[in-house]
Amino acid sequence: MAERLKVEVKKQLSNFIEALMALAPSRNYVTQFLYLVKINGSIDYRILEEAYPDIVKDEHVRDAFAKAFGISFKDKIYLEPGKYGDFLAGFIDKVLRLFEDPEFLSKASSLLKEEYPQGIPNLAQEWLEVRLEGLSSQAYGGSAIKVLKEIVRVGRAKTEELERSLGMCRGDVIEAVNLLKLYGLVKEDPYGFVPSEDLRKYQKLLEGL
Amino acid sequence: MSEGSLKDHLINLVNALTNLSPSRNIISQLLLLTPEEQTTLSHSFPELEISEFREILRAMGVLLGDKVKCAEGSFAEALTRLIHKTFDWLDDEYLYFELTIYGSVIMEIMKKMEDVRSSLAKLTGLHIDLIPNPYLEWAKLVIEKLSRDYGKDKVMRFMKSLLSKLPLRGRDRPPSIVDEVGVEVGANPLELKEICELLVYSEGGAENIYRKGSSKHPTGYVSIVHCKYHLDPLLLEESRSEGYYYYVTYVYTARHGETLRRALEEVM
Repeated sequence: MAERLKVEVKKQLSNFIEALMALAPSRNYVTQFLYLVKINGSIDYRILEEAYPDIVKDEHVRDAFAKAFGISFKDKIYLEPGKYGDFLAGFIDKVLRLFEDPEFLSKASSLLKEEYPQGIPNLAQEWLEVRLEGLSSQAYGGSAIKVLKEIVRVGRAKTEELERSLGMCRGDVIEAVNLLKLYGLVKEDPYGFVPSEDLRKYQKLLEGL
Repeated sequence: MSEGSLKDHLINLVNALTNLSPSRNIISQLLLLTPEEQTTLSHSFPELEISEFREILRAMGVLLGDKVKCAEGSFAEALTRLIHKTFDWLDDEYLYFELTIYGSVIMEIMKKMEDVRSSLAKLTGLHIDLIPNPYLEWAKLVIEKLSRDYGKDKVMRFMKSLLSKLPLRGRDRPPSIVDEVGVEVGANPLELKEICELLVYSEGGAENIYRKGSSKHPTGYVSIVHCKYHLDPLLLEESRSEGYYYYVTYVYTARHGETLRRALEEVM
């Protein structure tokens, strides 16, 4: 009886975890779009048109997306407050926090050893990896990685400090930090740019770049 | 990120959200039924005996005391909210609020997200009937369960009678669903009360979602009425009169009405 119940629990838990993982912005193009817009508040239309042409370029697709998720496609693209897209993006944040919680990961991985022999993935770390990989394919990706490493090294830096320490021109530094802010890798406060919380937690991922 | 077309990603997203709904998953089902006495839940979910399962629930923020409930701000609490929102979203019943300014007065206007299913059908290339409807799935399961417990006839008559009588109005207090619907159902009062609590309304289950009027002159609240199994088919609107003779009017209107009718037909 207990063994049969355990088999059923494992099956249910495995389906449940699979469904949550499918929502992760590292695994789904749509939630990635929604989550990036959410963490930025709003993003310039031209930036997203280039980054997510499948969603933004075609008028019919754009309109259907706007209706289905509650997205405003004007000069700035944003999630309309209180609509489902906005709510879902908030929930995705909860999923990322759950899938980096050591207690949840160890307990769920231990019960689902056969289904996940490598352990259940840390989705917050995976999302950071995807963003860091994504940087290298961007026009200012190389500069952005240099700037990012410098911000992580010093902890906080202003534009002019980055210009000086990296020997880069102001325009390149600004393009680089804009890209880093878009990907949620750095935040700006009144005293300069600081690494995002994810980056502080999983700093070792930068070493591979 | 894994490769695939936009359509594939949308279908994966809708399927993932559907698989998190209570008709497909006992974890979601259990969370949706909280807060609840642990003894009652253990009877419906013998899986709670498995200690590893209990530990995972705890890690998600489920408090397993005499009463089982979700900790405030926890993942478990966020998931139950997601289930409610997805029920409404994939059934074209999602309500939202827009702030509007008239002169110096700020007003909140309640609206419904329309054409969600048809937009998802366009985007995925699927026929609209193939877009999953977690609310319909759950409603059918709940109606089937209650039909087994109380008899199909009583449950069908109760729901059909309720849906046909809406909107229901009451002055100075909300109308009694049991009184309005009970005569036509023919069940004993205790049974009627139980069916009502499971399907329609439970004590203290009204969730204020919208304040009518303006920032200066509120005139009442609109609430979603929660019931034990969270089919939540009623919206309660409260309106305060102005002037010398002060009174309050309450009106129940239907949520998910068409889908509930369809669920009743399909279960029959």
